[in-house]
Amino acid sequence: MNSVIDLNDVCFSYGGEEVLHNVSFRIGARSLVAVVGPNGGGKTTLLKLLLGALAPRFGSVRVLGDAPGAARGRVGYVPQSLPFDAKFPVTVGEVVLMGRVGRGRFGFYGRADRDAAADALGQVRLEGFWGRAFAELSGGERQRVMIAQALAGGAELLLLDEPVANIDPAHTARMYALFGDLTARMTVMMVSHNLSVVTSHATHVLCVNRTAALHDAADVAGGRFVSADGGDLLSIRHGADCQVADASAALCAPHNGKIRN
Amino acid sequence: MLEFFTDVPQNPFLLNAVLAAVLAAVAAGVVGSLVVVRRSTYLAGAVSHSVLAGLGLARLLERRFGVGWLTPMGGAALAAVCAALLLARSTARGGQRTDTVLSAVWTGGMALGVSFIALTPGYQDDLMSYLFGSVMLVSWGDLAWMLALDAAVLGTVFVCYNRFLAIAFNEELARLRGVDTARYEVVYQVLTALTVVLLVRTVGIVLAIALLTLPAAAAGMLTRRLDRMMAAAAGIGAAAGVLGLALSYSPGLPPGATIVELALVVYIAAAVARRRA
Repeated sequence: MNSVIDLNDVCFSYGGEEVLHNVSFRIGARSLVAVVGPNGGGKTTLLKLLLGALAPRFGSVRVLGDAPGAARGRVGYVPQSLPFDAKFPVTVGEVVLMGRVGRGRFGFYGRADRDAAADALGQVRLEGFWGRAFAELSGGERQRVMIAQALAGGAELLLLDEPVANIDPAHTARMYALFGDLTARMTVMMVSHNLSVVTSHATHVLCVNRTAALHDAADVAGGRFVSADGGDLLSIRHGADCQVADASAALCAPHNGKIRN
Repeated sequence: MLEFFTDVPQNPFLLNAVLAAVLAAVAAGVVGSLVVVRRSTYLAGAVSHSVLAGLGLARLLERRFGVGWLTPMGGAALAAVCAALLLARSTARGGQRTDTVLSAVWTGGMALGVSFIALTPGYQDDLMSYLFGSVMLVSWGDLAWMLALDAAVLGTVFVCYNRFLAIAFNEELARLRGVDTARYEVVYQVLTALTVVLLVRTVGIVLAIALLTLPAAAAGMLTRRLDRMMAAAAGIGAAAGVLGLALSYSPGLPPGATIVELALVVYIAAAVARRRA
């Protein structure tokens, strides 16, 4: 009913083989969802479907009760890494304001826009950074500025692609604390490789490898997920019988709309 | 050099040259900053070289067919805008490799221009003035044109500034935030084209990219905000323009080349200062 994200039997391909197959899941309000799975398993494709940047071949995608394109203004997106030019002349404040650049006729900023941007910068705890050069920030600080940009845009759903990749451990911990705070007001969905941290913060874990399975974080913490090789990357044991890393054959069932959960 | 400044009040051509250099530098600094941060200098190169086709066509129509309504500046603007729209369309569709389309527009425009000039009866010495500028021959009519183009370019950048900045920063995010990036792309390309037309009179087709990129690149090393970069680039370009005219005057050097050389010196100096800092 009030699901923030609702996928029903979604299939997608870039032309050849299907990247996502029979994906169905629902996510409710104020969840913190960690999306895990191997590289090339379709995690980023899934985010793009939610953003409306891609359209499914079959099935339906609803975001905040709307078609993904229509909900776009209420969905904040933070890409994995900006193809960023270290000399790009822009300040932190200007980057945060870009969250509101699509509003109005020409994108002029008014008092309300600046207030929202300043407030968003406060939420990511970068209050004093408004006039700083974006290029001079650390990777973690830049990532938080990008989150502030999404918040300034009025996001009710925040999608993050590997928010803690290339960030030092101290920043990573603060980042997860921030996601915890944000979850009090909105749904946060993030792609992540770091399973141990994910399971201690997330409310749900979404395993994606050509199809998707949604789990309560409590189940995962209870031992249903075991790191297969002692590390916490990629090779996640899915139950006792199948690893996400090589589960494509098992998960590639015919179109039946039913996903083991 | 002093001779230049004492001659300016007496020689209307010199005064016009100074005004033209400053007017060209303002648009070049503002649009050039966008070109530099977007790394699209070769796009500007293709547009500027395609201008030869328009200039050649205007002269051909006038000399051979007695058509007077298409001035060389008008022909240049027409060719530049056509080239820009062609580039915007083909890159937006993604059907063709961008660098291939750039090369086609670049060389196709030059080839057409050369053919038009060959078909035009009379003196052929115009070619050099198109390629390397003829800032000492700027008329009041040219200045009025340049002023109008400057006003159009500055007004458009002012209105579109926030969206241009967002698109240059990250086009995908700008699109996701609801900005019609394809439309702004067309506006940006046309702006680049009009700025190139402004520059053709002062430094010519071949050197236009230099004035579009060098002052902006130097300015980019001095500041960390795009608006300040635009202002600084305009200032550097204007200074290089006026000083280039003055330095080239007594020895009788080509002013366009001298202006570009000065801009190059500023750029290298800024790069060296930045490395030392």
